[in-house]
Amino acid sequence: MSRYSHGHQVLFVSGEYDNGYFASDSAGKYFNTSKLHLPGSKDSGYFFKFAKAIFPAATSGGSFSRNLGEQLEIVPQSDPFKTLPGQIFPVKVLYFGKPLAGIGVEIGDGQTKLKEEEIARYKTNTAGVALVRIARRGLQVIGVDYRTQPRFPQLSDHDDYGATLSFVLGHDAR
Amino acid sequence: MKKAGGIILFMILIATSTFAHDLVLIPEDQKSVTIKFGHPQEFEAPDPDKLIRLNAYFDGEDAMGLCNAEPQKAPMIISPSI
Repeated sequence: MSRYSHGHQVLFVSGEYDNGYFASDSAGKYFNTSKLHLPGSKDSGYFFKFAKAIFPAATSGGSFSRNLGEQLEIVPQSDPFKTLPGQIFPVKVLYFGKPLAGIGVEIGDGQTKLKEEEIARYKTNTAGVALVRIARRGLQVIGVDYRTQPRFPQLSDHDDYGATLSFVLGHDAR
Repeated sequence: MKKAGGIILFMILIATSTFAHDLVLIPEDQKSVTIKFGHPQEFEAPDPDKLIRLNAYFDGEDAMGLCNAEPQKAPMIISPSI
């Protein structure tokens, strides 16, 4: 890695994904279009996704808590690589840089498929902080979804933002 | 891409989309990340035309865009995987 980054280590990788508009017809079948082009649609939304991966080098200097400025972002409030299984891991949810209160944060291992009713959700407080419990070592994928009023009501009934934060809790965590 | 080097950029992306899915970046080691879209056990490769930004942040440096990195010249291994 060093020869590609002049000796610098990677701290984060972030991504933004515009999944576009989806609208359902009267039978409930969804199409990748806005409601403008599907008259009489039952439901329609605009979907925008954000993701952030944290690497162990982010431990240095407290970089793990850096806000990258994503529209919806999950920001660690303690060092993820020093969190042990069974411990609480506080994360702050920001929407356009401001704390998002009263929203459910979920965590998974990126491998296990859970039914909707089996997914534990940790609600953010007024400061936008949720106290997530780390269950085990390995890959951690923390996610949040946030539905808002549509920015362009002629195109969708709602706008939907999604964000994930992922990191690998290794066996040397302490 | 001033930091170009002989490392591999895999962008074999499949044009599938499901509106309720998540974008997930999975660190594989100190220098690679896998891009997934969907849900556990149902992940798909992301549609490259919808991945509008992919940045790497190095210590002491500004963000580096990876979306337009040429194969063999990316500073990290990026692998969309199902």
